[in-house]
Amino acid sequence: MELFLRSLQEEIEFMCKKPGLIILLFLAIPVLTIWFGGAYYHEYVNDVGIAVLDEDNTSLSRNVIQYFDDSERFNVKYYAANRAELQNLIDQRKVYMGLYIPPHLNDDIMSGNASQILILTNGANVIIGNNAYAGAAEIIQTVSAGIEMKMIAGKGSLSESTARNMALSFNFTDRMLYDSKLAYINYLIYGFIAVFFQQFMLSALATMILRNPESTAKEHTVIKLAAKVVLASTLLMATGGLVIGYIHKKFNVIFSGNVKLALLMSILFSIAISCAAILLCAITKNKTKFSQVSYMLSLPTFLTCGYVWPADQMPELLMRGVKLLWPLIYFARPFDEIMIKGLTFVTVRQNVINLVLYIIVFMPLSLLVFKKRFGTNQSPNNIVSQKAYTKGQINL
Amino acid sequence: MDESCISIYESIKEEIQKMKIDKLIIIIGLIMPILINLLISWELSKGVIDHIPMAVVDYDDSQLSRQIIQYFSDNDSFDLAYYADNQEALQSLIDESKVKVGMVIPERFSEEVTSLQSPSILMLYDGSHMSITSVAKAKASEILMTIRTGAAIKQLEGRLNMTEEEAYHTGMPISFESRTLYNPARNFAYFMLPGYGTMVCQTGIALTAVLCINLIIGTNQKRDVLGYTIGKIIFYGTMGSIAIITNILAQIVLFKLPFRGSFIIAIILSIALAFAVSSLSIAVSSWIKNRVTAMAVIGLMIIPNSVMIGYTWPIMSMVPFYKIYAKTIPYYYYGDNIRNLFLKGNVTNLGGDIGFLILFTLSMLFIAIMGIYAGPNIKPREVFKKWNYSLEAFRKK
Repeated sequence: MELFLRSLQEEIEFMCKKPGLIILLFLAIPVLTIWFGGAYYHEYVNDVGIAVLDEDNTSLSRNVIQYFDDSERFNVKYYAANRAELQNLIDQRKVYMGLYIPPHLNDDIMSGNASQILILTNGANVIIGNNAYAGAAEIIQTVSAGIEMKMIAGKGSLSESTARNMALSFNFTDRMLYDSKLAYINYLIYGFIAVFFQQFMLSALATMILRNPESTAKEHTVIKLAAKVVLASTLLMATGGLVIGYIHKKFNVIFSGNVKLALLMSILFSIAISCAAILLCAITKNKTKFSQVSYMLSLPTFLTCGYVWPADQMPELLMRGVKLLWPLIYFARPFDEIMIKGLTFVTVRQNVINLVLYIIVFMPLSLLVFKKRFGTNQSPNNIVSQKAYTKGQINL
Repeated sequence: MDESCISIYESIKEEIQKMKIDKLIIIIGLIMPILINLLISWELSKGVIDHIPMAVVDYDDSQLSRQIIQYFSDNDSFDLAYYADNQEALQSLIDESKVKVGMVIPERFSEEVTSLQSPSILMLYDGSHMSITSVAKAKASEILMTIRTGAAIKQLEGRLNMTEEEAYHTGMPISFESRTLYNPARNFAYFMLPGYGTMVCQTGIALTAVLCINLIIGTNQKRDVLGYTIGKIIFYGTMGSIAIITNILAQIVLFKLPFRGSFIIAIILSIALAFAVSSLSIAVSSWIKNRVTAMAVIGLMIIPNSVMIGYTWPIMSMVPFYKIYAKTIPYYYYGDNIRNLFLKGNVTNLGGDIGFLILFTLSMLFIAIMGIYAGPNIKPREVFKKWNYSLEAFRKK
């Protein structure tokens, strides 16, 4: 214990001399979280520019257009003169959706003939396309139901309520659990925080481990490495926790989770990712090369951790490979669900077990490789050349 | 040979030499981006989310309710995983993330439909996973609206003695057809991969190019510095272009992504972006002497690009500051264009976008040269003898 505390003190002293490390451990997660959160500050895709081609030009068609314009999701930007122009406006990305009202819409409805409004959405951006489609479908269904009720009431000489119940033989109510607004910031921000935590743990540990790898490998390796891991993870978890509180207050990010469970998952993940950090340090033996590899890994590890694309929709073999090699898949999504849905320990138990198993397998392996790579004395020239390389003074 | 040309040649040669010694340059700049792209393309190869786990509570247990459940069961989008006994059980299935969608059919549902009391089906969605929920909600609404229209038509036929056609037109006075242009299946891979593939490649370019400036050449050798910097930009720009173009080809050939535009335009755009990113990285490299710090700076400038330029979450929904910031990022002039080349076949304002990328490259070249002269401490850095010696030797030859 005494040795651990002494090592911890040594690491704190080292950190205090390195402004870069102080910035990394104290400011990096809060600044990046707020920076990314700001991009998603608006919760919905609103005011989608649309173009309209009204070949009917009756009070009904104008009414339909008015519904779209009044909706906060849409903004009628152009009135096209013909179909080619409507298509062109979408092709030219001047609008994301086109609304085509055919000639005789009103007459056809009154005479009981089929009539169809056409919605053209730009599917290149799935998020805008989905939002536009959902909003448009809702508006047209509402207008259509209103007309249907009037027609039924008129044809059958029925009361308004009977006509309504006949038109809407049953209703369906949607209830969005946990995030009723389905806001994009809630969807992504905890995943980003998990990746920031991963990346800054890797960077901080690389700085700490590669300052004295030989002496760390020589004796009391586990205790010395543990001091580094404890310092980095404690500070990053503390700043991460603070910024979660901040974005909850300022950006209305949902925070209804079990803090203790989130903490447990974060501690286990920080140990698991330390295995990867130690292994990478041992392989690269150089902070610059380590940084290159770890930055390169940030995007693929995020994209394959089941956050953006659900893990159960991945090819089975790939999912197994990812689970075997990188621990983020056991942390990012469960951490998000703990914070937003308030998952219990029982629900995330399998992820906890997987993180522990990962640590049990990879920690001894990492330590073994680390000791092997740094255990033998390096020539002073080699160490000097590595430091000079990091400072950009000489070629390789 | 002109002195600048010699400098360019020597500068490129130096990077090739470096690459022979430091294999990580080619691994990070070329091999890893291609492998990562293959991995991501494989991950998203399914393209569309389906078999979303679903649970049902059927309090009615009538022919109609079973018919509705059957509709969901038959649809590929859903996987009817559980029949819950009550709403609480269903809620806990969603709480435990065992299912993402729940449907509650109330008691006497069928009777109430027949007696025109308009009962209500409750749909519960797990709002914590937007990509799954948005698909589930759209599909479930489609199914329920179809069933409801069918039920309304039957009512009209039965109660108002309408013909089937008459009932159909009364039940659906305005129907609508939706055409999703360019990506009809709303395939997630088509949406993500064209841009993300390049994102990975540009990260590779940035992380290798940012380490390339080692020296300052004497302040009186302006043309040498120019040639030296241009040589670096050409080397990393070329390597990046190869990575991006290989990646585009892999997406088209191996993963069968539709590519409807001109491949030549894609190549031109990719080269312009690769040169812009390499010049930006070299400018950072020339101003920040510490390699790790330089890498952190370029990492922060490049890695979040897909978020900041609105590749996924549209820029029009961001606050004004982010809209302005996005326009300063080279990837802003590439991301949507390459996706449009894949899916739409055309791009708008191609000249303007390429023009910006060229202007950006030239500006960064200028900033890089200033950085080499001034350095981080506004004083010349140590002369890199090897460079001058080799340049001298080349001149003599």
